[in-house]
Amino acid sequence: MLALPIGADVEIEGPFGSFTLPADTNQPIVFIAGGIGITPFVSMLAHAAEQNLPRSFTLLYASRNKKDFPYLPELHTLAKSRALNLKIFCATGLLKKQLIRKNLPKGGGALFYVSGPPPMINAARSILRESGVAGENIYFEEWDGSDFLRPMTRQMLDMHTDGFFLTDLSGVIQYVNPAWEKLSGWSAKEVVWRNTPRILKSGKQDREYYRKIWKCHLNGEMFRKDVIDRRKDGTLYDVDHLYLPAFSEAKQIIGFAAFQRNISEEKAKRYEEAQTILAGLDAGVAVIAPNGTILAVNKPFEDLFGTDGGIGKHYSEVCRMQENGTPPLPEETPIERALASGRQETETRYSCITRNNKKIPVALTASPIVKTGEISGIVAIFHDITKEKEIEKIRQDFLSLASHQLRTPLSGTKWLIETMRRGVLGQINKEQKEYIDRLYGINERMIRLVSDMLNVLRLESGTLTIKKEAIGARNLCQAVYAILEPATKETTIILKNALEGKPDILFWGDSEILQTILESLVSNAINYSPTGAAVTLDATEERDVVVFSVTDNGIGIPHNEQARIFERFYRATNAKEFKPNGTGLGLYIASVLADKIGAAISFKSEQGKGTTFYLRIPK
Amino acid sequence: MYCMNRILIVEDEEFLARALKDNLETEGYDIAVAANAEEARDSIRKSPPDLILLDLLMPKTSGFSVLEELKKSEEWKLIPVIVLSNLGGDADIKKAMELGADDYFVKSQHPIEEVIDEIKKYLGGAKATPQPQKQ
Repeated sequence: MLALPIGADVEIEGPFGSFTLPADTNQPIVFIAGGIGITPFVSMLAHAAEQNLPRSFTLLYASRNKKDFPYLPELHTLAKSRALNLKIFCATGLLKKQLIRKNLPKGGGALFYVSGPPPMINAARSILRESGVAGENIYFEEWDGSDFLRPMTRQMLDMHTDGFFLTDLSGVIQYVNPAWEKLSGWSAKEVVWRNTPRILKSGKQDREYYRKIWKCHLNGEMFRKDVIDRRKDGTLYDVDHLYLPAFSEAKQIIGFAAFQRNISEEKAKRYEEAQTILAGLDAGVAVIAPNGTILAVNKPFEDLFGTDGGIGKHYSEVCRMQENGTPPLPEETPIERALASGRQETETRYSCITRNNKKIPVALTASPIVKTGEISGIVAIFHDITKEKEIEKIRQDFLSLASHQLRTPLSGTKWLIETMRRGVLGQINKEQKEYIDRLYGINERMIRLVSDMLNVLRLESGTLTIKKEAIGARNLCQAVYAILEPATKETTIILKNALEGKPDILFWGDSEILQTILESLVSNAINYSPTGAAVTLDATEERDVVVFSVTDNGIGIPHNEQARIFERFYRATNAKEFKPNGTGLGLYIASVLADKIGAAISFKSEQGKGTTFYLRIPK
Repeated sequence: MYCMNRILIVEDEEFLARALKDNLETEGYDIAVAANAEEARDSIRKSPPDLILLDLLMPKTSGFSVLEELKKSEEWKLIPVIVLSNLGGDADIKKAMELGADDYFVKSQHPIEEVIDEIKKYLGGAKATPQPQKQ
């Protein structure tokens, strides 16, 4: 315990400046504090407790609401300590005469320290005088939050070009800088201790915005957003708000601060630039809010869908979309998908009904606008693809016709040769049969080559439509088995469906494409296996993928040629020797198809021992 | 006593029609050949077949139109029609089936024997005394 000489004034240093207690330790001390004015007393009382000063303290505290009593637990702790004889009386709302009169120390002679905002100081002064307290016993400290701003900080804020304001815990403005006055049209005199930042409310922000600010404040976090505020004269302006909690040196939140930068001009300039760019685009562009309301459009969008582009309306009312003649489910549209996934989504199967009630095919791309980690809207681009669809149709028709014209003479020779082989035109001798069989083989090879080349053309022209359907791996393997098993009778290859009798594996995919790939892999395995060998088709399930495998004990792939087997027309040397008639397109087509459906083909092989091909499909 | 089933082949490519005719006659069927839609109509009116093998891509009137006409006719809609075409796209197959085709073969992808086996399913396997083989 510190031994204090009787009669000496004691100066207590606190973070808010020094505080002199009189020498007479019997003289009671009354602190009267309002709102943020309590702050200096808290630390000073703590120091007094440390120094074990034997005197009585009374704290009369008033604040707007109970949330502003953040220091009370600390004060109660101090009150319980032996060093302090501290009584605390709190009132919610404005300082009342009764609070002071009721708790004036008996016998008089108390010293009063009053700290708080000017209105409170004035009220306290008047009450104390009415109660007969001598003026020399009253020390006033008109205190506002900006007192804790160090002089240098204060000067910087005064000179700053961005607006700045500071509030206490209940939101009452404590300080504004000159830039803020210029920006808002309000003077410091009009707002400090008289208003809260609600005077800036424009009505353009929803409740969620205010909830977020308070949540960040109370968590001691920063919050930044572009918003629209309102000046004193009622005009609106765009502002970049940066909100910060204000901490005391004791690391407690004592108020809230905000920097405000006027971005109206900048925003208008960006908007004009964007409009110029958008107007020059060929496609209709709409900016859509998360709730589906159209916020902005460009001229091509208006040309497509009507005057004013439907600003303010829900996009589904304006952009009447159809898929195969019926409106798509809302959650399936790229706009809703982009909102849900946060990624760009595209759809090329839609048509839209234009302002002239014309139906046109569109490619719709929806890209989310992400700001400070949140999706604040969608940019939807509607591209009229009538021309592209026409070209696609011409290409498809050409392919169809080309395939027909190429196949017709080949099917003719096929059937004519088969007619001879069947003996319809009379019996043929052994030599004739040999020639006819050769002719037949060459013709079949030509048919396969034409078929594969047409498939490659079809794949590379991008006309392939990919479906998404529920698939059972067992059924799929069974279908492949059923198609290819008859062919094995000629070669006595044993084809096994390893999934038969096992539990099914269910997943989503395009069954037709998958079947084509598996048929190609199994067909290869059969073609390059010796008589009597086994080819096994199996499927297993890993965490996120289904893995099909085709295993043979055939000729295998030479190690130095393995890197090339997926190339167009490439055939490994041993494959050409074993079976001269391949086209070299089977694996290429399988790899392109796999790529289109997001699957992966891999293999392991050893020449002379066999090969296993793997097809991995994400579930 | 035997029943000879009559098959009408509607095919503009002579060598394909020939291959089909020769094979089917060997199987004992009575064959008529039409090279276009008009000949097909005449043949059907004169002697309605028990089954029609129909090509699709023909000059002037396509096989699709012939198929549609057949299936809309009260008189002829029950005659089974097997499409034999080298149009192998999904859209063409779908269109033909929707117009009422009973089956569809892409010629280059099927041996003639498969076509014959399919015909036998429709005609109940009733076969006449085999025709003498051509020398």
